[in-house]
Amino acid sequence: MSVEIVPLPLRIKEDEIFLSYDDRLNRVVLKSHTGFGYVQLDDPEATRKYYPSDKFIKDAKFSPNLKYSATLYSDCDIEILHLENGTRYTQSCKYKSTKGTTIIGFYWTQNDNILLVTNISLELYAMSVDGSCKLLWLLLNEKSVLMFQIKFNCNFGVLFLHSGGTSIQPYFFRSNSFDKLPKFNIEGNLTFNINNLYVTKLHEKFFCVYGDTEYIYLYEMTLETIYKIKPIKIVLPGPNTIHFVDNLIIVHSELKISVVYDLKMIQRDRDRERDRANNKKGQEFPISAIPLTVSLQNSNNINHLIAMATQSPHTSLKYNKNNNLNNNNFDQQQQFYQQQSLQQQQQQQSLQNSFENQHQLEFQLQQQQLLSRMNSNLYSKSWKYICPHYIYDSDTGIWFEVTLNFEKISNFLQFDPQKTIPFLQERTLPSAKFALLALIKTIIEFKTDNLDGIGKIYDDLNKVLFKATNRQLTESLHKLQHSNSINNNQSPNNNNNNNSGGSSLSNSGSGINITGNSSLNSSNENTPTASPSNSFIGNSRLLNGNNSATGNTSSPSSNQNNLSYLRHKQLQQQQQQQQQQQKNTDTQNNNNDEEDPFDLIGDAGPYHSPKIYKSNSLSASSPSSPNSTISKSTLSSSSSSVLTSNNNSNTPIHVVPSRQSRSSQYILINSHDMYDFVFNPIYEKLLAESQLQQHNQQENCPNLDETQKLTLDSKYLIAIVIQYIKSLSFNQCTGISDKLYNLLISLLIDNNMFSKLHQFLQYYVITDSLPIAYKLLSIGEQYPPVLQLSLDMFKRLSMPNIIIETLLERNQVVQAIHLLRSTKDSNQQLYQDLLNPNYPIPFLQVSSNQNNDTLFFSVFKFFETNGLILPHLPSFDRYIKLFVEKFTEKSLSPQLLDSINNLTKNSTPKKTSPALRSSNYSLNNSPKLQSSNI
Amino acid sequence: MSISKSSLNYWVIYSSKLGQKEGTEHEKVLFFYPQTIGIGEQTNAVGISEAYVLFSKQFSPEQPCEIIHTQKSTLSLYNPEEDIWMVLSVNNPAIGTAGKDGKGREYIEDEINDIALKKCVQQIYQVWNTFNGGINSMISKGSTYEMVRKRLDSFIKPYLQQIQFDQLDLFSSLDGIKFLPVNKNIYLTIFNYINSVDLNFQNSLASFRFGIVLYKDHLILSSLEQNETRTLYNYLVNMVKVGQDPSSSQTMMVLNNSNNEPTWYTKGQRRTGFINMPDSNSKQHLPLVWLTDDKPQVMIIYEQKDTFLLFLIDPSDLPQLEFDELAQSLVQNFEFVNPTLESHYNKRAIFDEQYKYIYFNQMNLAIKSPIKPRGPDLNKETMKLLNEIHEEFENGSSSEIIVKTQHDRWIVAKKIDFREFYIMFDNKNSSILEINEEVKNATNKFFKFLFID
Repeated sequence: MSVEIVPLPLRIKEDEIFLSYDDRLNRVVLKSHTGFGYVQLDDPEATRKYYPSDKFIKDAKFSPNLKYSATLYSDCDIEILHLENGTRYTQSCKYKSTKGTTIIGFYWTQNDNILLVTNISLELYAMSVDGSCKLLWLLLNEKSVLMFQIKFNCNFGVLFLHSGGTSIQPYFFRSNSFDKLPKFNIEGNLTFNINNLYVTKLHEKFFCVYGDTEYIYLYEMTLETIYKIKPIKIVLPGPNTIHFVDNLIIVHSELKISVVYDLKMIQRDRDRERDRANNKKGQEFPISAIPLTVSLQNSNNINHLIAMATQSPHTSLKYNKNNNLNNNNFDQQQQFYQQQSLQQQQQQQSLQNSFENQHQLEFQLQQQQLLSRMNSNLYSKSWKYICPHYIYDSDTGIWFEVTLNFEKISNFLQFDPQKTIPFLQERTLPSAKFALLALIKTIIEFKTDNLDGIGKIYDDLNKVLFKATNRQLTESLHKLQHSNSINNNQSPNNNNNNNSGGSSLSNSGSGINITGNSSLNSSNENTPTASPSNSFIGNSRLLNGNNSATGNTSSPSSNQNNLSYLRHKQLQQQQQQQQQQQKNTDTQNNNNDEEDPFDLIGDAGPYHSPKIYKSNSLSASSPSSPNSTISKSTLSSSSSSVLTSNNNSNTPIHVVPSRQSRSSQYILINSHDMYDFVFNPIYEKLLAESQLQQHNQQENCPNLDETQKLTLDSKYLIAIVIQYIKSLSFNQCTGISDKLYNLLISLLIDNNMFSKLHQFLQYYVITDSLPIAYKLLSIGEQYPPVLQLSLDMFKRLSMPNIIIETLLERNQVVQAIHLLRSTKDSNQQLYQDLLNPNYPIPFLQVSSNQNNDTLFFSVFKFFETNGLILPHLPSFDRYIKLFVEKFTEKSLSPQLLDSINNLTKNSTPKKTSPALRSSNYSLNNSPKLQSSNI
Repeated sequence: MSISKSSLNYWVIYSSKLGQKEGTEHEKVLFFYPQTIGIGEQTNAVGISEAYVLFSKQFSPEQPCEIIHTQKSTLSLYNPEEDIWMVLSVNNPAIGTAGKDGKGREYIEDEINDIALKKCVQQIYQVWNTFNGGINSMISKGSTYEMVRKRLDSFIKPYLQQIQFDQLDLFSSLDGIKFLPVNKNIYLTIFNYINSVDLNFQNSLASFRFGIVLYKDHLILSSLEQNETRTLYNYLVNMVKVGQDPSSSQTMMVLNNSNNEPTWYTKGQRRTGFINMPDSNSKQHLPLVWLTDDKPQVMIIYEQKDTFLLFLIDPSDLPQLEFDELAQSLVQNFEFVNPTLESHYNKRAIFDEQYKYIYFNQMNLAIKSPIKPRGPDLNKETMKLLNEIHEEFENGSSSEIIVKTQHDRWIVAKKIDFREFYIMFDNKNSSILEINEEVKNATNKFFKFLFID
């Protein structure tokens, strides 16, 4: 595991001055000679938005909704600019007249609340409608003027006030008001430095972190209390800076080492030691302690930086395109092929345009130069460490993001799976997910744990998975009901419409409310759709994050350049819930904000997938309809295709997603992931090995090296897969991947374990699904008993058409007709869907081929009485003729005879409409036709 | 007027290869029962069956004759191995006592069901073959015919004696397997226990493998082929009578005697442990079984409360097997699931209370019925009818039959693909339409999740 820095596309130009980084907006605030502005940190184009100003600006801040800006241009005055209409308003601090008063900080605490901090007072203002400020609250500092220090974290809305000594007074700001949090004392051996004070959220808890040269002091904060946690002794004492990535504490030491600590693991270790009554005062072990490395994963950004440096937009664009081909490939093999094709392309091009090639080389050279410069420049004095996890190199103007690469985690420290797996499970970065999957794969492949041990690992994964999906479910249900009740309150007249059901959200929402319990159950059954689509979105976002520079216009995130972050977020939500009205989501969001303010201090917008689920639950409100099943399967299949295209190779990839796509959710590993990254790769290895062995046997080659040989066989893999399915089932995880079952079936067939397969199906271990049913149907020839099970499954899936087709293929016409008739009795809709004008033809064909006149007669008569023999269609001619030949015209029903006669009379063929059954030609059922004949 | 039930006339195993010379025909006989019959008559029995086969070959060269009906008896001929024939002759039931002239006694010739009889012969061979291997292969491995005769005598005789030839009902013809209806989670749990035991022991003993798990007389899990499962299930349920009170019924169990030959013993009292191994130092008593692959394997049966687990191991690996360790890992796991299995076993579906039915699926050999074999629900008339309907189905001529018996019982039988469903109604005054409606209701309930037309 290593700490990496990823260059961001932003590079501060020489004529620009960096003012501050706004974590809440994910924007860097800049100023230039002509004004001030901001730039989004991970905007690939690094587009600046500047506002001109004629004053000498000392500092600038933007309100969270980007409606206002505030600039500081003198000791006592700020200018507030309404960004939309350009009105300006100057606000001076309250005690301007007192000598020596200076503004030491000003912050937007809310969308329209601005806090002014001077060396003698705290002043909170609210923006009024006319653009002026109104003083809400004032606090005077009674103590020594010089000792007044502040730290404000806009993301969490917490202000730390230090007015001498070691005591800190935190304030928590909400809309138009604030809370005074309990005062606490900071420990530490040296004089207090407010710059070493950090606020962060670790595992959903708020911490105030203070670091000195030897210890990290942690204070857990709630509205009422402050808990002090035993400080962590730093492994390498000395001046340092602290970053927070993925709930981990990273200490960048001056000794050019970055040390990673996990508070949870430290606490677990401490508990264990306490249990052992071992009072040895040990140093806390870091997860890792190695120097930073520059990550090449997002070399798009590097290209961009070079392009910016060379100041030739033409080349930058062109090479971006070429390089993107490389960068977007996760699959090494694919990459190889693409590189080859790229090379071929280049060869072709080189004949025509050798100039470009030269450029390419030059460009690569530049890239390498830049990288080596970055590498040699690590921990440079010019680096500014910006909370929570950014680095700004003031020399080159380049920005880096600090991130973690969890690859090879098991190489570090005393890690055993019992520790590593929970550690990785508590991460949110996708890199951890791939590391975890790789770890599980290794455990299975090299049998480092027995079946029971692996089962425990599975249980750990699935417990979390179940909790997470369940929470999403309840959240979404809660929201549905909530929004629904709002709708009902707003428009009581709507109730009548609600019952009739409609397409608008309010109707469908209440529909769910009315059905109450039953809908809850049905939606539980529908979670299969929810969880794959969840992962689907997650992954596609991940892809988009990387593709964003490729100009993929179809993906929502490619538009992010033109949109502000908030609007971008809204857009994403909008797309996720196409069936919903934007208005509704807004009200929901507002409601959200009022729920529990402290919980939402750091509402960095955790990604709520339930919204997707919601749309699913609506669409799947009629689970019995075949459409919904189809859509379900297509959904899951499409999700898997994305997954596989994401990574076909077995090597875990380290992806640094764009900031927007990150969520505060811990990584979840579902059956799709397990299939794609664990079971299937192992299965393919097994297959390849067995093929190789066969090949060797044919060639009489010596056997494989023992080292190359896999230590497992398919029987072991079956046991492993079954154990996983058991764990999923025990933990009530739904949405189990079809492909997992598919793999299991393939494994059983490969090993001729048909009776086991039969038992699995018999005990419903393998969940019904269309792909599985088809797979079984295809095995039917190899192992006939499965055919029966396949047909059973089709029945449960309400797909009589497949059964009828199969029966006809096996010449079982009578059974096919039996089924057709019972379908007609039980499910009229399904029956109607089955029929088309030519539907009886295969029946007639099969029955006429069997040399059984009685059979043919009965089949013909069945369709005749149901009005399905349509003499005007040429396809029926042969069978009507055959029938008349065998049983004479007298055997035909009078109606049919009449219509045949009519047809021969008006020998000019009428153009028949496609909707035959409903037209006058539908024989028996049409009184019109009969009367006209009379 | 006295009615005599159908009973064993004779049972013979002979090799057509032997006794080719005139006057040595008696050498053909490998085993004859009852042994009270003289050698002359034994030879006659062999002679007549050879004649039947030879004669009928003219008409059906591919398939030899299987069943012969005579006035007094019904014969079933079975040719399981090359040159080896088995003939079972059963006396037809008769009414009245025969006078001196042989008249006055009326034989009921169609009482004995062909399929049931055929099945019976096949099963006798199967049991022999499972515990002894094929007769020809014994010869080829160096046994003399005299040794084979001795072995047949000691093994087949006790088995034959316990067959009740007047009770060959549908259950014995179907020879199905009762599955314990457990839910997916329990199934998976047991499967995983087995897997982990399996993998654990396979690390050191590659040939060790798990066979089947039973709870009382219901099968839960099998990793054997269907036919192997059927044979061993049949042995455990019908002979060893697992899950039944050993004191109430005659149990029979194969163990190796001191000469290393399989012999019948009675199973002792219920206990926990390896039931076919009287004590931990008697590994040599474990019987060998011959399954589809021609290699004999040692069969180990473990009993834990009412759960029976069957394992197989190569005889060469047997000395290394740590029985204590095996027992320990099994106790650990199964103590936990046993109560759940018991509750599943005792839970009778409402459907079972409501209807008298027999369901059989040829594809997985599953049989399901609330009717007890040889119980009061299955009177002679019903038994015979069911056998006949089954025969009809086997010939593939019918898919639905409705019968009203003399005692006003309705029997409805359906065959759907490979599934057979028999259901009985005792409502005297119902019409056929009402019965049809009832059947429809019942099948809709029963086959809710299965495809039937």
